[in-house]
Amino acid sequence: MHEWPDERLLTETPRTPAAFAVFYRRHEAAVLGYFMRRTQDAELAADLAAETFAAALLGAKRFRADRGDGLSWLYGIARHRLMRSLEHGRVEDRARRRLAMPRLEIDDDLAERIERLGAEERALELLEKLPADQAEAVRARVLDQRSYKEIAASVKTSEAVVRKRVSRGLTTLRGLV
Amino acid sequence: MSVFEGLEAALDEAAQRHYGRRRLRPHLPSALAGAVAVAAAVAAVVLTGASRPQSPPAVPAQELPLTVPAATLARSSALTTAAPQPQTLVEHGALNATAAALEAAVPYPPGASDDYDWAVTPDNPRDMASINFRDDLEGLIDFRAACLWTSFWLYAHGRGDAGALAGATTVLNDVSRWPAMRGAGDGAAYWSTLARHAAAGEPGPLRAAVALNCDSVHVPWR
Repeated sequence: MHEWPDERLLTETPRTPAAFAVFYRRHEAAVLGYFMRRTQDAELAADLAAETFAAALLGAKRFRADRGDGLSWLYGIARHRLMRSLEHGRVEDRARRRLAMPRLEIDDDLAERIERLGAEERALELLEKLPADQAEAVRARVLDQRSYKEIAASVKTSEAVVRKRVSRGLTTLRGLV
Repeated sequence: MSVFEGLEAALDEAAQRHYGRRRLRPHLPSALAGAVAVAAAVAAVVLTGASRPQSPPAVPAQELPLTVPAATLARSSALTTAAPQPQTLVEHGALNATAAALEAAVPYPPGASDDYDWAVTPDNPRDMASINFRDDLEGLIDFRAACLWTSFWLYAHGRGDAGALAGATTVLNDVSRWPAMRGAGDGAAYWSTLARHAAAGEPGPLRAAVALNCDSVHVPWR
Protein backbone atom coordinates (compact mmCIF):
# COMPACT_ATOMS: atom_id res chain seq x y z
CA MET A 1 0.00 0.00 0.00
CA HIS A 2 2.91 2.35 0.72
CA GLU A 3 3.98 2.10 -2.90
CA TRP A 4 0.55 2.92 -4.28
CA PRO A 5 0.21 6.23 -6.12
CA ASP A 6 -1.97 8.91 -4.54
CA GLU A 7 -4.83 8.23 -6.91
CA ARG A 8 -5.02 4.58 -5.95
CA LEU A 9 -4.84 5.41 -2.23
CA LEU A 10 -7.83 7.72 -2.62
CA THR A 11 -9.94 5.42 -4.76
CA GLU A 12 -9.22 2.47 -2.46
CA THR A 13 -10.03 4.39 0.74
CA PRO A 14 -13.77 3.49 0.79
CA ARG A 15 -12.89 -0.22 0.53
CA THR A 16 -9.62 -0.05 2.48
CA PRO A 17 -9.88 2.83 4.95
CA ALA A 18 -6.26 2.36 6.10
CA ALA A 19 -5.15 3.65 2.69
CA PHE A 20 -6.07 7.17 3.74
CA ALA A 21 -3.51 7.13 6.57
CA VAL A 22 -0.80 6.47 3.97
CA PHE A 23 -2.08 9.35 1.85
CA TYR A 24 -2.12 11.58 4.95
CA ARG A 25 1.43 10.72 6.02
CA ARG A 26 2.69 11.30 2.49
CA HIS A 27 1.33 14.86 2.29
CA GLU A 28 0.84 16.16 5.82
CA ALA A 29 4.18 18.02 6.00
CA ALA A 30 3.60 19.79 2.69
CA VAL A 31 0.03 20.75 3.59
CA LEU A 32 0.98 21.97 7.07
CA GLY A 33 3.86 23.93 5.56
CA TYR A 34 1.56 25.36 2.91
CA PHE A 35 -0.87 26.66 5.52
CA MET A 36 1.87 27.81 7.91
CA ARG A 37 3.51 29.80 5.16
CA ARG A 38 0.25 31.54 4.32
CA THR A 39 -1.22 32.12 7.77
CA GLN A 40 1.94 32.56 9.86
CA ASP A 41 0.03 30.89 12.67
CA ALA A 42 0.75 27.29 13.65
CA GLU A 43 -2.60 26.69 15.35
CA LEU A 44 -4.50 28.06 12.39
CA ALA A 45 -2.35 25.99 10.04
CA ALA A 46 -3.09 22.85 12.05
CA ASP A 47 -6.81 23.65 12.08
CA LEU A 48 -6.88 24.21 8.32
CA ALA A 49 -4.87 21.06 7.65
CA ALA A 50 -7.23 19.02 9.82
CA GLU A 51 -10.29 20.33 7.98
CA THR A 52 -8.60 19.82 4.60
CA PHE A 53 -7.76 16.18 5.27
CA ALA A 54 -11.17 15.55 6.83
CA ALA A 55 -12.80 16.96 3.69
CA ALA A 56 -10.48 14.83 1.56
CA LEU A 57 -11.44 11.75 3.54
CA LEU A 58 -15.14 12.47 3.03
CA GLY A 59 -14.57 13.23 -0.64
CA ALA A 60 -12.40 10.20 -1.36
CA LYS A 61 -15.42 8.21 -2.50
CA ARG A 62 -16.06 10.82 -5.20
CA PHE A 63 -12.44 11.18 -6.32
CA ARG A 64 -11.98 10.40 -9.99
CA ALA A 65 -8.43 9.75 -11.16
CA ASP A 66 -9.41 10.48 -14.75
CA ARG A 67 -10.17 14.10 -13.79
CA GLY A 68 -6.77 14.91 -12.31
CA ASP A 69 -4.08 13.74 -9.94
CA GLY A 70 -4.60 13.26 -6.24
CA LEU A 71 -2.15 15.91 -5.11
CA SER A 72 -3.76 18.66 -7.21
CA TRP A 73 -7.13 17.58 -5.89
CA LEU A 74 -5.85 17.82 -2.30
CA TYR A 75 -4.38 21.28 -2.87
CA GLY A 76 -7.64 22.34 -4.48
CA ILE A 77 -9.39 21.47 -1.21
CA ALA A 78 -6.64 23.22 0.77
CA ARG A 79 -6.91 26.43 -1.27
CA HIS A 80 -10.68 26.40 -0.93
CA ARG A 81 -10.48 25.97 2.84
CA LEU A 82 -7.92 28.76 3.10
CA MET A 83 -10.05 31.15 1.05
CA ARG A 84 -13.16 30.33 3.06
CA SER A 85 -11.30 30.97 6.31
CA LEU A 86 -10.11 34.34 5.00
CA GLU A 87 -13.64 35.26 3.91
CA HIS A 88 -15.29 34.26 7.17
CA GLY A 89 -12.52 35.07 9.61
CA ARG A 90 -12.50 31.55 11.02
CA VAL A 91 -11.78 27.98 9.96
CA GLU A 92 -14.88 26.02 9.02
CA ASP A 93 -15.28 22.63 10.65
CA ARG A 94 -18.09 21.00 8.73
CA ALA A 95 -16.08 18.01 7.54
CA ARG A 96 -14.74 17.32 11.02
CA ARG A 97 -18.22 17.60 12.50
CA ARG A 98 -19.55 15.17 9.95
CA LEU A 99 -16.80 12.76 10.90
CA ALA A 100 -17.33 13.48 14.63
CA MET A 101 -13.73 14.65 14.96
CA PRO A 102 -13.50 17.01 17.94
CA ARG A 103 -11.13 19.92 18.46
CA LEU A 104 -7.39 19.30 18.25
CA GLU A 105 -4.81 19.93 20.93
CA ILE A 106 -1.81 21.92 19.66
CA ASP A 107 1.05 21.99 22.16
CA ASP A 108 4.19 24.13 21.91
CA ASP A 109 6.27 21.30 20.50
CA LEU A 110 3.84 20.64 17.68
CA ALA A 111 3.52 24.36 16.98
CA GLU A 112 7.30 24.59 16.63
CA ARG A 113 7.39 21.68 14.21
CA ILE A 114 4.66 23.26 12.10
CA GLU A 115 6.53 26.57 12.08
CA ARG A 116 9.63 24.76 10.82
CA LEU A 117 7.56 23.21 8.03
CA GLY A 118 6.43 26.69 7.06
CA ALA A 119 10.05 27.81 6.85
CA GLU A 120 10.91 24.79 4.71
CA GLU A 121 8.01 25.56 2.42
CA ARG A 122 9.30 29.10 2.07
CA ALA A 123 12.77 27.76 1.31
CA LEU A 124 11.40 25.46 -1.36
CA GLU A 125 9.48 28.35 -2.91
CA LEU A 126 12.66 30.39 -3.04
CA LEU A 127 14.63 27.50 -4.47
CA GLU A 128 12.28 27.44 -7.43
CA LYS A 129 13.53 30.92 -8.33
CA LEU A 130 17.13 29.70 -8.72
CA PRO A 131 18.67 28.17 -11.84
CA ALA A 132 18.19 24.40 -11.72
CA ASP A 133 21.84 23.53 -11.06
CA GLN A 134 22.11 25.96 -8.15
CA ALA A 135 18.75 24.91 -6.70
CA GLU A 136 19.80 21.27 -6.80
CA ALA A 137 23.10 22.05 -5.12
CA VAL A 138 21.54 24.19 -2.36
CA ARG A 139 18.82 21.66 -1.72
CA ALA A 140 21.32 18.81 -1.43
CA ARG A 141 23.76 20.72 0.74
CA VAL A 142 21.47 22.83 2.98
CA LEU A 143 18.17 20.98 3.19
CA ASP A 144 19.39 17.40 2.82
CA GLN A 145 22.74 18.14 4.56
CA ARG A 146 24.76 15.98 2.18
CA SER A 147 28.53 16.41 1.90
CA TYR A 148 30.06 18.28 -1.03
CA LYS A 149 31.89 15.11 -1.99
CA GLU A 150 28.71 13.07 -2.12
CA ILE A 151 26.83 15.74 -4.09
CA ALA A 152 29.71 16.07 -6.56
CA ALA A 153 29.70 12.32 -7.11
CA SER A 154 25.97 12.17 -7.63
CA VAL A 155 25.90 14.92 -10.26
CA LYS A 156 29.23 13.82 -11.80
CA THR A 157 31.13 17.04 -11.32
CA SER A 158 33.88 18.35 -9.07
CA GLU A 159 33.48 19.45 -5.46
CA ALA A 160 34.71 22.92 -6.45
CA VAL A 161 31.85 23.32 -8.92
CA VAL A 162 29.31 22.20 -6.35
CA ARG A 163 30.73 24.63 -3.79
CA LYS A 164 30.49 27.44 -6.31
CA ARG A 165 26.88 26.56 -7.16
CA VAL A 166 25.91 26.47 -3.49
CA SER A 167 27.67 29.76 -2.85
CA ARG A 168 26.01 31.50 -5.80
CA GLY A 169 22.64 30.02 -4.94
CA LEU A 170 22.81 31.20 -1.33
CA THR A 171 23.91 34.67 -2.44
CA THR A 172 20.90 34.88 -4.77
CA LEU A 173 18.58 33.65 -2.02
CA ARG A 174 19.85 36.31 0.39
CA GLY A 175 18.86 38.91 -2.19
CA LEU A 176 15.37 37.40 -2.47
CA VAL A 177 14.59 37.23 1.25
CA MET B 1 6.14 8.87 11.95
CA SER B 2 3.94 11.81 11.15
CA VAL B 3 4.37 15.38 12.41
CA PHE B 4 0.84 15.61 13.71
CA GLU B 5 0.24 12.17 15.16
CA GLY B 6 -3.02 13.15 16.82
CA LEU B 7 -4.52 14.18 13.51
CA GLU B 8 -3.30 11.03 11.81
CA ALA B 9 -4.90 8.88 14.51
CA ALA B 10 -8.16 10.84 14.41
CA LEU B 11 -8.34 10.59 10.61
CA ASP B 12 -7.55 6.90 10.70
CA GLU B 13 -10.34 6.29 13.22
CA ALA B 14 -12.71 8.48 11.22
CA ALA B 15 -11.87 6.55 8.04
CA GLN B 16 -12.62 3.26 9.76
CA ARG B 17 -15.88 4.59 11.15
CA HIS B 18 -17.02 6.32 7.99
CA TYR B 19 -16.13 3.65 5.47
CA GLY B 20 -15.56 0.55 7.56
CA ARG B 21 -18.95 0.58 9.24
CA ARG B 22 -20.77 1.19 5.98
CA ARG B 23 -19.36 -1.99 4.56
CA LEU B 24 -20.22 -4.00 7.66
CA ARG B 25 -23.79 -2.93 8.16
CA PRO B 26 -25.56 -4.78 5.35
CA HIS B 27 -24.05 -8.08 6.41
CA LEU B 28 -24.98 -7.97 10.08
CA PRO B 29 -28.28 -8.53 11.84
CA SER B 30 -29.42 -5.21 13.33
CA ALA B 31 -28.82 -6.27 16.94
CA LEU B 32 -25.27 -7.36 16.17
CA ALA B 33 -24.61 -4.21 14.14
CA GLY B 34 -25.67 -2.17 17.18
CA ALA B 35 -23.25 -4.03 19.41
CA VAL B 36 -20.41 -3.48 16.97
CA ALA B 37 -21.26 0.20 16.81
CA VAL B 38 -21.27 0.56 20.59
CA ALA B 39 -17.89 -1.11 20.80
CA ALA B 40 -16.51 1.27 18.20
CA ALA B 41 -18.02 4.20 20.02
CA VAL B 42 -16.10 3.33 23.16
CA ALA B 43 -12.87 3.69 21.23
CA ALA B 44 -13.88 6.96 19.62
CA VAL B 45 -16.81 9.24 19.07
CA VAL B 46 -19.05 7.12 16.92
CA LEU B 47 -22.45 8.64 16.98
CA THR B 48 -24.23 5.41 16.29
CA GLY B 49 -26.92 3.49 18.05
CA ALA B 50 -25.39 3.69 21.54
CA SER B 51 -28.53 4.34 23.56
CA ARG B 52 -28.86 5.97 26.94
CA PRO B 53 -30.05 3.67 29.71
CA GLN B 54 -33.83 3.31 30.06
CA SER B 55 -34.59 4.55 26.57
CA PRO B 56 -38.15 3.81 25.43
CA PRO B 57 -38.71 0.63 23.41
CA ALA B 58 -38.95 0.97 19.64
CA VAL B 59 -42.48 1.46 18.31
CA PRO B 60 -43.59 -0.54 15.27
CA ALA B 61 -43.60 1.68 12.18
CA GLN B 62 -47.31 1.25 11.52
CA GLU B 63 -48.11 2.69 14.98
CA LEU B 64 -45.96 5.79 14.66
CA PRO B 65 -47.83 9.08 14.64
CA LEU B 66 -47.35 11.21 11.55
CA THR B 67 -48.85 14.52 12.58
CA VAL B 68 -46.28 17.13 13.46
CA PRO B 69 -47.66 18.99 16.50
CA ALA B 70 -47.82 22.77 16.40
CA ALA B 71 -45.64 22.86 19.52
CA THR B 72 -42.88 21.06 17.61
CA LEU B 73 -43.04 23.58 14.78
CA ALA B 74 -42.95 26.40 17.33
CA ARG B 75 -39.89 24.86 18.98
CA SER B 76 -38.11 24.72 15.63
CA SER B 77 -39.04 28.30 14.86
CA ALA B 78 -37.82 29.43 18.29
CA LEU B 79 -34.42 27.86 17.61
CA THR B 80 -33.95 30.04 14.53
CA THR B 81 -33.57 33.08 16.76
CA ALA B 82 -31.97 31.38 19.79
CA ALA B 83 -28.41 32.32 20.74
CA PRO B 84 -25.74 29.68 20.12
CA GLN B 85 -24.33 27.82 23.10
CA PRO B 86 -21.15 29.27 24.62
CA GLN B 87 -17.85 27.47 24.20
CA THR B 88 -17.80 26.31 27.80
CA LEU B 89 -16.29 23.09 29.06
CA VAL B 90 -18.56 20.17 29.83
CA GLU B 91 -17.25 17.51 32.19
CA HIS B 92 -17.48 14.03 30.75
CA GLY B 93 -19.76 12.90 33.56
CA ALA B 94 -22.17 15.70 32.74
CA LEU B 95 -22.43 15.00 28.99
CA ASN B 96 -25.70 13.08 29.08
CA ALA B 97 -27.38 15.56 31.42
CA THR B 98 -26.17 18.49 29.33
CA ALA B 99 -27.29 16.75 26.16
CA ALA B 100 -30.72 16.11 27.66
CA ALA B 101 -31.05 19.79 28.54
CA LEU B 102 -30.04 20.84 25.04
CA GLU B 103 -32.31 18.26 23.41
CA ALA B 104 -35.26 19.63 25.37
CA ALA B 105 -35.11 22.71 23.16
CA VAL B 106 -34.72 20.74 19.92
CA PRO B 107 -37.74 19.60 17.90
CA TYR B 108 -37.93 15.94 17.01
CA PRO B 109 -40.25 14.26 14.53
CA PRO B 110 -43.34 12.57 16.00
CA GLY B 111 -42.40 9.27 17.59
CA ALA B 112 -38.68 9.99 17.47
CA SER B 113 -36.07 11.11 19.95
CA ASP B 114 -32.31 11.03 20.21
CA ASP B 115 -31.23 8.62 22.89
CA TYR B 116 -27.54 8.53 21.97
CA ASP B 117 -25.42 7.69 25.01
CA TRP B 118 -22.79 10.43 25.10
CA ALA B 119 -21.10 8.69 28.01
CA VAL B 120 -19.53 6.20 25.59
CA THR B 121 -17.29 8.95 24.20
CA PRO B 122 -13.73 8.96 25.60
CA ASP B 123 -13.35 10.33 29.12
CA ASN B 124 -10.12 12.14 28.35
CA PRO B 125 -10.02 15.74 27.09
CA ARG B 126 -6.74 15.04 25.29
CA ASP B 127 -8.31 12.24 23.29
CA MET B 128 -9.13 13.48 19.82
CA ALA B 129 -12.48 11.74 19.92
CA SER B 130 -13.67 13.25 23.20
CA ILE B 131 -16.40 15.90 23.47
CA ASN B 132 -15.47 18.72 25.79
CA PHE B 133 -17.41 21.83 24.82
CA ARG B 134 -21.04 22.75 25.07
CA ASP B 135 -21.18 24.21 21.56
CA ASP B 136 -19.66 21.04 20.07
CA LEU B 137 -22.31 18.98 21.82
CA GLU B 138 -25.02 21.30 20.53
CA GLY B 139 -23.67 20.98 16.99
CA LEU B 140 -23.81 17.20 17.10
CA ILE B 141 -27.29 17.17 18.66
CA ASP B 142 -28.63 19.59 16.03
CA PHE B 143 -27.02 17.63 13.22
CA ARG B 144 -28.52 14.37 14.47
CA ALA B 145 -31.95 16.00 14.87
CA ALA B 146 -31.72 17.36 11.32
CA CYS B 147 -30.93 13.84 10.15
CA LEU B 148 -34.04 12.56 11.90
CA TRP B 149 -36.16 15.22 10.19
CA THR B 150 -34.66 14.35 6.80
CA SER B 151 -35.49 10.69 7.37
CA PHE B 152 -38.99 11.59 8.59
CA TRP B 153 -39.55 13.70 5.47
CA LEU B 154 -38.63 10.69 3.32
CA TYR B 155 -40.94 8.46 5.32
CA ALA B 156 -43.83 10.94 5.02
CA HIS B 157 -43.10 11.29 1.30
CA GLY B 158 -43.19 7.54 0.87
CA ARG B 159 -46.49 7.33 2.73
CA GLY B 160 -47.93 10.21 0.73
CA ASP B 161 -48.95 12.05 3.90
CA ALA B 162 -49.24 15.70 2.86
CA GLY B 163 -49.66 17.01 6.40
CA ALA B 164 -46.57 15.24 7.74
CA LEU B 165 -44.63 16.26 4.67
CA ALA B 166 -45.56 19.91 5.18
CA GLY B 167 -44.49 19.78 8.83
CA ALA B 168 -41.16 18.15 8.00
CA THR B 169 -40.56 20.63 5.19
CA THR B 170 -41.19 23.53 7.56
CA VAL B 171 -38.69 22.21 10.10
CA LEU B 172 -36.07 21.42 7.43
CA ASN B 173 -36.44 24.99 6.23
CA ASP B 174 -35.57 26.16 9.77
CA VAL B 175 -32.57 23.86 10.25
CA SER B 176 -30.00 26.08 8.54
CA ARG B 177 -30.88 28.82 11.03
CA TRP B 178 -30.65 26.72 14.16
CA PRO B 179 -27.87 28.08 16.38
CA ALA B 180 -25.24 25.41 15.75
CA MET B 181 -25.94 25.33 12.02
CA ARG B 182 -25.58 29.08 11.74
CA GLY B 183 -22.01 28.74 12.99
CA ALA B 184 -21.10 25.60 11.11
CA GLY B 185 -19.33 27.05 8.07
CA ASP B 186 -21.03 25.83 4.92
CA GLY B 187 -23.33 23.66 7.04
CA ALA B 188 -26.02 26.30 6.69
CA ALA B 189 -25.73 26.19 2.89
CA TYR B 190 -25.87 22.39 2.99
CA TRP B 191 -29.12 22.32 4.97
CA SER B 192 -30.61 25.21 2.96
CA THR B 193 -30.04 23.25 -0.21
CA LEU B 194 -31.68 20.17 1.26
CA ALA B 195 -34.61 22.30 2.43
CA ARG B 196 -35.07 23.63 -1.10
CA HIS B 197 -35.19 20.08 -2.45
CA ALA B 198 -37.68 19.16 0.27
CA ALA B 199 -39.88 22.14 -0.61
CA ALA B 200 -39.70 21.11 -4.28
CA GLY B 201 -40.76 17.57 -3.36
CA GLU B 202 -37.51 16.02 -4.58
CA PRO B 203 -36.60 12.99 -2.45
CA GLY B 204 -33.36 12.08 -4.29
CA PRO B 205 -31.00 14.59 -2.64
CA LEU B 206 -32.53 13.91 0.79
CA ARG B 207 -32.12 10.18 0.31
CA ALA B 208 -28.49 10.70 -0.65
CA ALA B 209 -27.92 12.96 2.35
CA VAL B 210 -29.32 10.34 4.72
CA ALA B 211 -27.23 7.59 3.15
CA LEU B 212 -24.04 9.62 3.21
CA ASN B 213 -24.24 11.61 6.42
CA CYS B 214 -26.95 10.19 8.62
CA ASP B 215 -26.39 6.47 8.51
CA SER B 216 -25.26 6.48 12.14
CA VAL B 217 -28.51 8.03 13.43
CA HIS B 218 -31.15 5.51 14.42
CA VAL B 219 -34.57 6.18 12.92
CA PRO B 220 -37.76 4.35 13.89
CA TRP B 221 -39.31 4.44 10.41
CA ARG B 222 -37.17 2.03 8.46
